[in-house]
Amino acid sequence: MMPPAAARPPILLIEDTPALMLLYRSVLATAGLAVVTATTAAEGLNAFHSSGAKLVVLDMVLPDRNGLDLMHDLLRLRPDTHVIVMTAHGSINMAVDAMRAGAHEFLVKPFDAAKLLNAVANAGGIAVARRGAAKGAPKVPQSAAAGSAFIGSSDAMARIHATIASVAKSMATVFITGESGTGKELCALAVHDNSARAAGPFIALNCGAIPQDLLESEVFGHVKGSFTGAVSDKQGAAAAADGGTLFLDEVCEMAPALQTKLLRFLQTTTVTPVGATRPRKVNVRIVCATNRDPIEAVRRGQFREDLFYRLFVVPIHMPALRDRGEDVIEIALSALSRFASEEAKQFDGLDPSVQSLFRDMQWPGNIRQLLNVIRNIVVLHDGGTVTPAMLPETLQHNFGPAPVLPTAGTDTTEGTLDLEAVLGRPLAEVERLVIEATLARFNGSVPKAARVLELSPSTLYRKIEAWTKN
Amino acid sequence: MPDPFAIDTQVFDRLLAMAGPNIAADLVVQLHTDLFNARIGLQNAQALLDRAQLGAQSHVVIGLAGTMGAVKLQRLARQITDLSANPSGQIAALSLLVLQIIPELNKTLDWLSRHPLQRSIQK
Repeated sequence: MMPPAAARPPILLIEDTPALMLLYRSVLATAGLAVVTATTAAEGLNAFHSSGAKLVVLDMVLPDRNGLDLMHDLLRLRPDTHVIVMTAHGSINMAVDAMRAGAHEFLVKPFDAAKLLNAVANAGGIAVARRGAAKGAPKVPQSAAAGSAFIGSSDAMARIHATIASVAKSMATVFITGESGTGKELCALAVHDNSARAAGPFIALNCGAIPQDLLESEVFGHVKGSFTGAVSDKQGAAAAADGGTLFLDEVCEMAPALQTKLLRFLQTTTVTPVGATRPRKVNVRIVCATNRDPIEAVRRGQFREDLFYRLFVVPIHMPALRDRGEDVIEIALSALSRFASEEAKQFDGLDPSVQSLFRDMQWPGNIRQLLNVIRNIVVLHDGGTVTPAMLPETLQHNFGPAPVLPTAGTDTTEGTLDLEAVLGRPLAEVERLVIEATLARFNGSVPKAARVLELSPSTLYRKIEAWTKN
Repeated sequence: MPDPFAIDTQVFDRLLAMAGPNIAADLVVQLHTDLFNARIGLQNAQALLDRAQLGAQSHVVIGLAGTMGAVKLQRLARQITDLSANPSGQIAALSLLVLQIIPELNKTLDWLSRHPLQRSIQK
């Protein structure tokens, strides 16, 4: 068990630009993390000695020394230190150099608070707090975003809750699918938190975010000297998750060579770090996720079929927000209340027209997009009831009377289209006829027609606008 | 008036919201100070034909400009960073980029100095 936040060593932040230092410190402190700061490499080294920091956020370009050189020294002094490197130079080569030299994560400026907090969480700074939840009744994840993903009384979410409750207690591998922003990682965390392993580690690894040639080392670890830059032994994610859960996000992005090794790991439950000669037995539950269709990935030969069947034991599909009925309103109201409280403002709910739009929207970014919209409203307005005028510009075009549609010469008012009537016509005209027929079927509702046509409403509006002008 | 498209104000407003009400004003002031210093650093580096300093100062500008939504400024700074890291990069081309970035820096500094939070501190 990790010590409470106050007893944990602080995060050491080494950044020479005062404005950025101010910002990083504020974001980390707001997340409840203790921070010590330094503006030069020399100061950073001193603070590293005096603070006992185990996690360092390090700018690559410092006035007195190269950040990578400093990282070498830090890792030589305390090899178990996690270093998150930040730089404005975003080349892949530099990322590979930094990761090979032992960096835990490589973040490219400009600053993104969510990415920094995720990196810190992956390094153990925040995940520890999440894992601290008590055992007992079925739990949903405790973070703010998690609360949002699991809010909702739709049948779809009721089924998710029931599935999590029933699978959590087993050792079965869980395969979570769903579009981006639907809460897949939070679902994985809920499986972990409701399992007998809740007191153990929950290690999340994004297979799509790590350069492929580093992924093996990230998953299975490496021993000192196994390749250039391996200055110390490194425990991989699989070993770090011993006794807990290993969450492999974007698992379909994994390179074929590593898929073979993952399959062997699942079959033998042993890990062999890069450069090691002896395997080590670990006790890990695997939960994986993808926003792609895994069966399609298998069909295309991008994902091994045997690995797929090994992982696809208990599938959980996180529904898209547009398929969750009234959940969108419940989540929006909950987020509105939470964000308003954070910003010390008073909002009274959503105007019926806004609710109606929210129900009809496609929400391609799902809950993440909805939360961004609500955050935007709360930040930019003083309070009151959320009206259409308060919505971000990108959503406002969804309002207003449906445009008068020009006719392409075929009657589509009943929402039906005769194939014979379109054969032999130019493709652009056929497209227009199909769109008009679809709009007619949905009484002119652009969002509904767009959904059926698998287009964004804005694309549909653009097309209609172009026809009107012509 | 500064070029209204020089700053993505949505990005900037989100930045202030992320910083929180207690430090938002300090952040605006500090951004101004850091960009002001970077401008002096870039001009000195150009005068001395110092590639390393041009790279270091443009690195600072990328971080600041990107964070505050100054898209054009960020793009110019990135070009300077890339060119200064390239030993075969023409120093004349670097100088030209510095000449282009200085007016953009000035616009951004002007915009920051007119920001309501900056003014609230100056009162």
